[in-house]
Amino acid sequence: MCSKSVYPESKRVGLGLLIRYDWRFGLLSHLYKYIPAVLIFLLSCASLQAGVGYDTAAGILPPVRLSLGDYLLHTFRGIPVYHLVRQNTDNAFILPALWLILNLYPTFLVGGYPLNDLHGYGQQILTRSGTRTRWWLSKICWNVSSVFVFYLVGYAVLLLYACVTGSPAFEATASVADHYFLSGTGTVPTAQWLPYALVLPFLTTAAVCLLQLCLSLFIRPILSYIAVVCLMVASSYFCTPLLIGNCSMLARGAFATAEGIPLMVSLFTLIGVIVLSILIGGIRFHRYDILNKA
Amino acid sequence: MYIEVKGLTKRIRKATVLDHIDLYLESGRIYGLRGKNGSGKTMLMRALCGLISPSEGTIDLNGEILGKDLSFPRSVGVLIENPSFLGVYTGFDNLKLLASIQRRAGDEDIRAVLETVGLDPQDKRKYRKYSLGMKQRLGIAAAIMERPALILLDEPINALDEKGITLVRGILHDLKEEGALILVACHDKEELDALSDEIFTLENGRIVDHCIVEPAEKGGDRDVE
Amino acid sequence: MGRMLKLELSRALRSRLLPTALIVGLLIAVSHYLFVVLEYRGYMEAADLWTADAHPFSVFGSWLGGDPFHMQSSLYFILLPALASLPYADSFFLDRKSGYIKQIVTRTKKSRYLAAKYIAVFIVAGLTVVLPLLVNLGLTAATLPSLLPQITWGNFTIGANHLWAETFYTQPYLYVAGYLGLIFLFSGLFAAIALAVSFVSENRFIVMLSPFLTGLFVLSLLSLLGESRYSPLDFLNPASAHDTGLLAILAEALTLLLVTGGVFFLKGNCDDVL
Repeated sequence: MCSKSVYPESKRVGLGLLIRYDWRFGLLSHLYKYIPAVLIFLLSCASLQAGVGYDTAAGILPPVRLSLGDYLLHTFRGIPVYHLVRQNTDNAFILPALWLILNLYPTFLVGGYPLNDLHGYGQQILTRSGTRTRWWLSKICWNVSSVFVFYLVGYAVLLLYACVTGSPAFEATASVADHYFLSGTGTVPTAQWLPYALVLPFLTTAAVCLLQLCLSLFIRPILSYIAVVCLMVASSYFCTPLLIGNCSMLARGAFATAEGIPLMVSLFTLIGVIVLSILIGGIRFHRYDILNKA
Repeated sequence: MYIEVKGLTKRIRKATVLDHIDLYLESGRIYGLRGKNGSGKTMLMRALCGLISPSEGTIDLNGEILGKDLSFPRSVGVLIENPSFLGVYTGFDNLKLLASIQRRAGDEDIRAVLETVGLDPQDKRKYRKYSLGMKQRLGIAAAIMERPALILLDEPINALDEKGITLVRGILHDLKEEGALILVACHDKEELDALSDEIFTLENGRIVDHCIVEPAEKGGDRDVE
Repeated sequence: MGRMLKLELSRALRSRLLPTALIVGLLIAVSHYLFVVLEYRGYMEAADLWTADAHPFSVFGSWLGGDPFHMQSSLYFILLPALASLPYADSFFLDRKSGYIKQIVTRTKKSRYLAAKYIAVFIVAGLTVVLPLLVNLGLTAATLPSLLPQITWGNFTIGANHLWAETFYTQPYLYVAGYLGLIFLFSGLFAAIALAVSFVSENRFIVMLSPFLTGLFVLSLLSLLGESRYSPLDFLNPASAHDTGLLAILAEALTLLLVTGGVFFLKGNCDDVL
């Protein structure tokens, strides 16, 4: 004997509703976590300003008004291509700490939420969401949004700082670029390097975060985070677009150095990583067992 | 609605937690699940609501295969293991948030279901301040507030006082009369006998016994199949 | 206290993430040996550099903690706080969340439990980080000569102002032992950060990564200020080309101990067990 459900078939749950839930509980209710982002970008600006001030006072640089372009180049510089020269102690490999934190802090922000949400309360959301695909897509949107907010905050800080202390222009100061960014880059046209600075850092971090999200479905979130750290350190050591961290280092862009990575190569690689992470993660999540784990 | 389970097997690493389970469940009945700790009751519930995918076998819900045609049952309310809600919200707000997903239950329905389970809809206390019994009641409320066609309750009377247990009994009977298919796992033999129309006993992931509880004999002797 | 400590240490050593943490550390340590040390050996054999006059590669400039040129060394020391936290740093968080702490504090004094927990987390963290380094050192010492470093060679980053520089050039194994002691100390202290954070976070991921994030933030901040030598992730690397004084290092260790221990013991003793 077959009875009808008390209610007709449940209404199709829109993806928008799930995304709004994730924004509310995974993003808006944790906005305080973006305060360190403000500090990071502020300190980056302050360090450039202090360094230039010192060099100006010492007569190394002419007096300049730092622009938004200068702050962009400094903040997203990374390190130049590393060439191993064995036994030359002036050539020790030094990790780019600022670049690392710019990429690893957002991955930390997005690392703990998705799978935590799956256990306990999140199961109630999941069973009401209708399909696993919708849940997965919602998490993708949330992930990318979180990275977007991070960079929005960052660019806003850079712009404000530039307005207050110098100029909001994108044009970099030639002497500052030569001295602080890379020698010989002071004459590179703004239109040539600006796309690198505005698009690639965000896209790289988004790709890394999505890769981490995908990996979390195979190994524990903490281990997927460690894998991402290894990827970023390897990226700073080896210059290849396959180690996608390279894509966000302006000092390794094709405009900055002959060994650099062209913009389109970075774009295609990053988009490839994003698409693969979404697809592989989606396939994996479709059969993912949701068991109550501590 | 009906659920037909054929050869359901689930292996996790080297352990077989569900072993060739066959079931036929239909609306308007309460099915009890009984078994020792670790016998597979919770795993079976997880499988029926789509939280885990079978290693072998199928789960057919009204002609649709779970995991293939459907990710989750179209209309389901679950309480599996410990209830979990957002600590910074009240009970009412927690339910309202969940209800906003499918929009099948309004504020009035939420107030009604909270009263039904013995909680005060006006209570301004945050969930994190709830006692264990209150949390359990809220978990039951969340499972039933949208009047789902399928209700899965794992140990629903945990931490409930006698009044609470009587409430739950009444709620489940009302839902059954309305045509819901209800599956309840419980350690309390008498309670399960009082609640259920049929009882399955699990042991080591297998169904080892199935009995139908005659209406006149609920709580007394049973017809054993 | 002894029984409690034994219980906690036993739990820590049986932690499921301890083998994982050791594997990650060993992967880095062994990959360094395979791709760097063996390459050095091959190079030396090819060039017949087996006399001190020809400045061959020495253990002390080639092992994971003495090599400033290759990725593995930077990777190991940047991951140090994460490796230290993996095995057991979240155990207090889990004990509270699961309610297990109630089982303990009803059987013994809470202060004993807290002390045993802190010590166990500290010891296991230190062991997790130091063991792979020892493996790498052992493998390197079995492959390359333990030639006494000579400052005139110019291929060691340890300058005259560096910590224990004289020891490095006279008794290098003692230098290494001293640094391994410092690494053990700071690994334990980093893991203890997670214990303190357990009181403020409800997310296990955040608790476990808080030591790593703290270390990375400090490194970034100090790098921007031009003082990265005061960052533990920098000065703990024996090959780091900075002249951090012992006083500064010990002051940082003491600060970490007071902050983590203070928060953990004070809050742990005062808070109700719910």
